[in-house]
Amino acid sequence: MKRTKLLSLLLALLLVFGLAACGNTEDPGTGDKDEQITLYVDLHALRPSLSSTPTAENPDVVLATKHIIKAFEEENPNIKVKVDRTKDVTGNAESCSQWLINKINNGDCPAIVFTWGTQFQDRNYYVDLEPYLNEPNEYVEGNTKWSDLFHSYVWKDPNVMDANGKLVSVPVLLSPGTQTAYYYNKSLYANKTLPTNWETLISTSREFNEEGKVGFAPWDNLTKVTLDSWQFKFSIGPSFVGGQMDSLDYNNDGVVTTYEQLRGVKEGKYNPEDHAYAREVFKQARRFFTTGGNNRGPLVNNWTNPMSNEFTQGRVAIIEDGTWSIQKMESNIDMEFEYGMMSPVLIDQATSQYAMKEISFVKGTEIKHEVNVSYNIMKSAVEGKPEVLEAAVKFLKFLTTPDSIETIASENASYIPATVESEYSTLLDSWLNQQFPVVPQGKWPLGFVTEYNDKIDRLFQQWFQGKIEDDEFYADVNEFQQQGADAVIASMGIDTNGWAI
Amino acid sequence: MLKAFIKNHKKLFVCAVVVLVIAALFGMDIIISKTYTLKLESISEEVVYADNKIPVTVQISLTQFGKPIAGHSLYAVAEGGGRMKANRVMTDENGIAEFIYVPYTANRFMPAAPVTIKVIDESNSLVFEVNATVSVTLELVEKEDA
Repeated sequence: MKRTKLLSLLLALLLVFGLAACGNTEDPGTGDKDEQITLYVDLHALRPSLSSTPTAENPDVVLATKHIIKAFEEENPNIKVKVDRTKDVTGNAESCSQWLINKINNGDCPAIVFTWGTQFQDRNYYVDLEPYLNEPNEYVEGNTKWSDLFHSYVWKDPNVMDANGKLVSVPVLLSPGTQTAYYYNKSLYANKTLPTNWETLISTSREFNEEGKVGFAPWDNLTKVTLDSWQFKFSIGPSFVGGQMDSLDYNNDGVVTTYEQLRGVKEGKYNPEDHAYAREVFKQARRFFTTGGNNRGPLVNNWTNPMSNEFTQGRVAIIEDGTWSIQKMESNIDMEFEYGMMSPVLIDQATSQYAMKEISFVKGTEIKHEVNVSYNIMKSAVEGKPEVLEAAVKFLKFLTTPDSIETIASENASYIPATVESEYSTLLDSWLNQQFPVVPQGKWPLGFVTEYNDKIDRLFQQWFQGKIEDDEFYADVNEFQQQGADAVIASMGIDTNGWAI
Repeated sequence: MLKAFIKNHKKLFVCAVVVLVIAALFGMDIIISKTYTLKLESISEEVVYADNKIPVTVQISLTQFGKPIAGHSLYAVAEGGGRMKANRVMTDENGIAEFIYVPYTANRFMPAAPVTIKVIDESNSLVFEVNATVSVTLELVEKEDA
């Protein structure tokens, strides 16, 4: 009996010590240091593929971020990275908006998301990252300030800096020189000079049209008359901003930011009722859609997108597509001609006295590349959860070390790394060795938010169809621009002191 | 007796004939694919560096009964990292298709490791996709190691 009691006492002591020992090492809930954190991330197009094996149907598997996440988890054993797979990464801003709203309402929004940088800035979604960007990136030896790892110009990019001047996204990849390119048929252009500006693009395209070819085909997804076109974004808008830079760039730093756009709209500088240069912007947008004759389409005889098959068959002189389509073009064995690439043209004073004075050219490697892929931290996922915010910042720091970004850019060969010490793929060499027009750093604003962008776009369609007169169109554009700007100013609490309004 | 069986099992008989025809066509495509040979002809670099600034040209030949076959579409993918400049290349009059492989640059996330270039002949089938294939393994070497 005595022995049994002693044995029981010993067993009890063993059990107590055993449990205590287990508690110290394995219980994830004890102690801040050992607390296990699950970090949900939406990497959008850089989402690791489920299969590591490329196939003919799916030749582009994403391995880079898979390796980076694995290495991050090894270095940070208390953080588990879970990649969100619920988002349609081929969707547009509208579908992304709906996805985000659902995620936030369900309380399962990823801490890190891709939202084209500042797309939803008026909704107060994003964490201000500037304080963290001023800290060292502990994953890069000797670094004292995280932001120093990147090309300095990215911090003024409207995809990174919001209207309040806050840095709300961290860039990873940049567009190589331009986001889009003109792919041209070298055989058709054998006896013609390539266009160097908007006017020569139009005149050369007309010549082709008269010869029964198609002079210029916009990218396949442009299927209606709209201001949401690459021509408006990359050719027309920047060219007229460039022409009025002295007035629109308030701090004379060469970049017209969203803040400056809002101020300009409120001070009436973009008002087509008052300014001939603002009217000219819309006239050129309309001209693009009518030049083919009989309102049949943009610079072509019979505009029925998609035109890429026509281009393959040698009937189209120039087709516009993304710079990401280089591999698709290289792999097109049905093209019986050589193709070339050039950057989209700008508008100079050969077209309008209000456009930029002259177009200067530089080598692609010297261009300030626009931010293409960047990530935000979502307030709704980290508010009240400092440990998740800390984990999200750590992950973004790890994801943006020069090594990480070079690995990503090597796999996504159509993009430029956002960090200075990372190299881009050799597949871009011949493209970047070309001359590129220096594009003014600013876009022509429309309605700022989806609601007013849509309203202005519908107006444009009515104006194009002759359903409304010029005066009405210009007055309504200004009205909707003012309302869009007011909405952003109110939702973001932008200080308008000192504005002439 | 066979006639009676067919009469009583008309549907089953039709199904069996369809299955047999499909199997025959599939078998024919398998046999045809075996008549084509894809072969590695050359690799432009003696040592393939895990460096994305040093592309490698890989020549693949296509023959049928020893004769070069022109005008076939060959499709290549790189397993293990790196990219093909063009995935799809047409064989020339000598039956040669030239692929350019751009390796990844080795670092702590992706150390130098063997990469397999898998090539298929997309044009050798009649009904079903039964492709002649060849795999080429490139032993990537870190530049510093070399």
